[in-house]
Amino acid sequence: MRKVFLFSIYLMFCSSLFSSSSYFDIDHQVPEQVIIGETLNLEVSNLNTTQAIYDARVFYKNQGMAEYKSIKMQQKGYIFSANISTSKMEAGELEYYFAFQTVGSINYYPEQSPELNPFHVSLLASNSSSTQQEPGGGMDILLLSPELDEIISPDDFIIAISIPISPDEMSSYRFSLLLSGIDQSDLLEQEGNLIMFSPKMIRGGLHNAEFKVFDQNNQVVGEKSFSFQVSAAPSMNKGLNTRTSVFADNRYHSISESSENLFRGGLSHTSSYQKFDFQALILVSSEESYDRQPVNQYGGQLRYNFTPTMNLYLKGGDFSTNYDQLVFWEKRVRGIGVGYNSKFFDLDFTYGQTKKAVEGESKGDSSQINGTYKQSFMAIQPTFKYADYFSWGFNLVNGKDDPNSIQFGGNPKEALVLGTTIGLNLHSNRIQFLGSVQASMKNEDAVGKVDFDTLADRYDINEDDRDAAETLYNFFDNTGFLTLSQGLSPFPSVAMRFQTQLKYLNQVFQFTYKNIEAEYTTPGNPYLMKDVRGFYINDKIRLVSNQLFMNIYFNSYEDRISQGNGKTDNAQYGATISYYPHKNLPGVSITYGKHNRENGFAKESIVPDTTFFQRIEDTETQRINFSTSYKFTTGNIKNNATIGYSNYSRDDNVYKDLFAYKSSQSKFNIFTIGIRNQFSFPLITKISFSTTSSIYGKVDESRNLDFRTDSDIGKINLGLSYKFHKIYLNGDLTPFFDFSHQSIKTARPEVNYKPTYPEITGQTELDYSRLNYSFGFNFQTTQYGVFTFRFDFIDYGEAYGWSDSILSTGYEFNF
Amino acid sequence: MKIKSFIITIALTLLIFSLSFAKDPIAVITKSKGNVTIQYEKDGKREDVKRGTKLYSGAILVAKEKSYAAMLFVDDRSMVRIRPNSILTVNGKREKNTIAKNISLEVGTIFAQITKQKSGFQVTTPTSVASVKGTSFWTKQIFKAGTYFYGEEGGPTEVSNEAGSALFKEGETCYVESKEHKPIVRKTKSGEKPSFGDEDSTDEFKIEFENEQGDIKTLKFKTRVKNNE
Repeated sequence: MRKVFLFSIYLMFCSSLFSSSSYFDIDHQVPEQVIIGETLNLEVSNLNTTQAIYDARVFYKNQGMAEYKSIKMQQKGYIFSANISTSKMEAGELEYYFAFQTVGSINYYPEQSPELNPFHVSLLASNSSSTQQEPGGGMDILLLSPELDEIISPDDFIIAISIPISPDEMSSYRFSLLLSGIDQSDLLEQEGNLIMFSPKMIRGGLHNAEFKVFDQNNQVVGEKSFSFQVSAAPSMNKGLNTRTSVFADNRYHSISESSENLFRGGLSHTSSYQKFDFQALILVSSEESYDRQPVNQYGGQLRYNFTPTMNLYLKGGDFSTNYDQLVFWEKRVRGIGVGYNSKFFDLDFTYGQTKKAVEGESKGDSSQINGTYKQSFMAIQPTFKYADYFSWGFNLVNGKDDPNSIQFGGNPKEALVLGTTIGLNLHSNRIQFLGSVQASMKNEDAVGKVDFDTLADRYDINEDDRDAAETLYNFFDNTGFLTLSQGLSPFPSVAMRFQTQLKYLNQVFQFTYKNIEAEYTTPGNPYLMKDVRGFYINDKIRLVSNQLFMNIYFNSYEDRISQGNGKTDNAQYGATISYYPHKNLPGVSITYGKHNRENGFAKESIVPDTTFFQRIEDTETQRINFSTSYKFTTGNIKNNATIGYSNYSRDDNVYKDLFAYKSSQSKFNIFTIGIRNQFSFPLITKISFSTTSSIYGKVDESRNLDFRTDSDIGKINLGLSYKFHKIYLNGDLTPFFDFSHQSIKTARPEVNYKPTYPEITGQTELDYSRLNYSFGFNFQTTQYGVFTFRFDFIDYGEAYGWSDSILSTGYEFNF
Repeated sequence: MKIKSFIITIALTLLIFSLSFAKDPIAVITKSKGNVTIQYEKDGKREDVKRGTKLYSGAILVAKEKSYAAMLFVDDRSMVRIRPNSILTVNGKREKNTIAKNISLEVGTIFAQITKQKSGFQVTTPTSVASVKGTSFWTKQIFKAGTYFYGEEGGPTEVSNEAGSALFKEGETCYVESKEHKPIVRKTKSGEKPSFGDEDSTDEFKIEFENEQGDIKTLKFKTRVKNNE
């Protein structure tokens, strides 16, 4: 409960009604702001040990966009973290939420309608790190080799890059190189301001490379992406090009007066030999258990490249493949996958299992705890295409629970999805179109078998449709995609998505329509949000010689469509205006957003206490945000100052007077200010201050009862790090120390809910502090790898009688 | 004693001077074919250059018959292409973020493609010095004879010696008979200017460029081999 209350403040701060999940005890601190160009680090702790999370993702998007992107979160014990690059984002608000895959279910955080009630973090305009101003970051990067007008022979290949700064300044930066998806940073050789990469061997064909420069604060200050072609002629060098990373993390924590030790280790390997590419991943965790879904991962992929655009591949073990968001997306499969890619035709076939069998338990009193059935999975997608201009794919995805895999389970389920996806890409990517139409059928109780006549009678299929239905029945009977049992629903559910993007006249205009029915089920994307229909329009405009940027959006959609009067109309509109007047002047960004929600109950003016299971919604939510950041130099100190102000208000037009105790009306004001200093010697200091005042709830004016909760949070953060160069074993040691003090004052009413209309019996005032100390170091050597150590200590002060501590160590070695 | 101190001072000065020049690479070889060697002293050890060979100030490059090379300077990506039968010395002095460059061409032909300079770029020949701000031009030094400068693009470029100076630009040839003769500028005659011949590799390939908005443009190249240099 302690955590739930602590972070409910943050939850309210972020938006709306959601509560801590009944399965998780989630701890997440919403970052106050991030400057565009910096990496946004999001961390979530799951403090509940009874539910293993074996896949976690964070979904994020710029406010107003139609689609969320997602990345997998890395697990270190109970901490899940993800680093999101903001270098290609627009100033304004970033919306995000978390999704966790557990035994047989997907859980979200925020729990309720996370797509509609996401967390928000301010993206601050930056005067120097704005990618709009200077594509590829602020720092100049000169690509010396390969040149544009040559083909490189495999034996002659090098990448040579120079940074046009004084060689003495080079020690202030770190460099990374990603070559065709493989991190080659450790193989970079630096001399003066020249950086070179010369592998023993490189395969022929087209390669993509991404070179990045990081400052001492791990902030990307420059990046360059380029492609090049290595001659298909066989190399005279028959050497094997390999890359292996071995890693191990250990975490010991004492949280909520219980302690535990967690370990995770493994290796990732990539190699190429002539026309063969090979990848492997092994991950071993102390959380692996026979009664949980797999946490350990073992996977490999072998690919043979006939030409740069034509290849054949074989995957085995744990892997994931992406078809289309509506069908098969970011789903881990344990099995095999084979495929073929070429200029005109692609084919993928995946077969395996997506859940392992975990036995349930009989309670002896005719009740039982349900286990998890083994779920088999099969997917196939042939795609016809013409280079990058046109593609037309067809897909079939089938998932089936195996009822014989366990003794004690619920209803075994099955689902089948058939559909097609069309993509168009014209006029040098200026016109893009994506259309996807999918139909799914499912069986909610795949046990036994019924004949066609029984099913036809059950669903009252008339004579006209009987032949078609019988054909479908025979199809399932012959193929075995769905079991013909009582649980079969013969009516398909549909999901569709159409998206058009136009890039003309300094604008990127995007129109999206999607309609995903509530009953639509795909075994290939557990995170798909359903029961939603509507369109999303977004326009990004560049003006005044790329100094002024506007992002305007309007979305109109319905959610909870299947829930009768619970069907809710949404109208969202807003704009962000960002101005970057000059590199030496601050960048400024102003954001306005409004979101109106109204459901059928509100439209029919239903009295609140006549609905028990559904909320009546008629709300207007408004967000206003102002932010600025300024990079400047004082003597030899590089400074980065940031200021941000956000105002958030939600008006609830339904729950008032006698129902004020139910209201989600709220108002927040958040002010943040911070400065980061980078000295001429490798010391970085940070200090920031934020204050949040909030009022949550409403006043019952008919009885003069105040159901509002007031909160004031003041937070100060201090941080410093210092880098010792070449201290031992030719490695760099970077110790760091962070401190934050949070002062929380809350006044909330004590409510007696027993009367028909609850009454206030008193007031609870809470005034406490939370102190957080972190310190540790990072020791990085070229020859012996990277060792990290970190200790966190959280003191909850007098309000609670305990403190938490976390000790994390990690080691990574690349060779 | 005085002589000893003087020698030590000179030696230290030379050492510091040479260290300041030789500390970091100033250019890198990006292309090489045939027999191209590098050495740092006139009678020093010769090594073959290859793609990726780093050049420090004072590097002497020798391209023999049917051999050529190209190098890029690390501060601004200025390029120098060296044609067969050429001998040159590459010098560079670092000035904060930039390098003041000097190519001393003893004999042979080079092509210089110079980006706009902050610290200066010079091509020195036995007859004259060409000071460049940002242009591309050919320099052809005849053994124990005159120098030809051919404007390729941009300009103007100033050529000077003890006898005087002259400016030449695209489409013009500047001829300097000796250091005692003033540079003479005239229109370039057809077929007079050197060319690259067919030094590059051959194949068909494409390169994709993507800007921040995700616009992709594809550049297709088709080249052919002819090794008759």
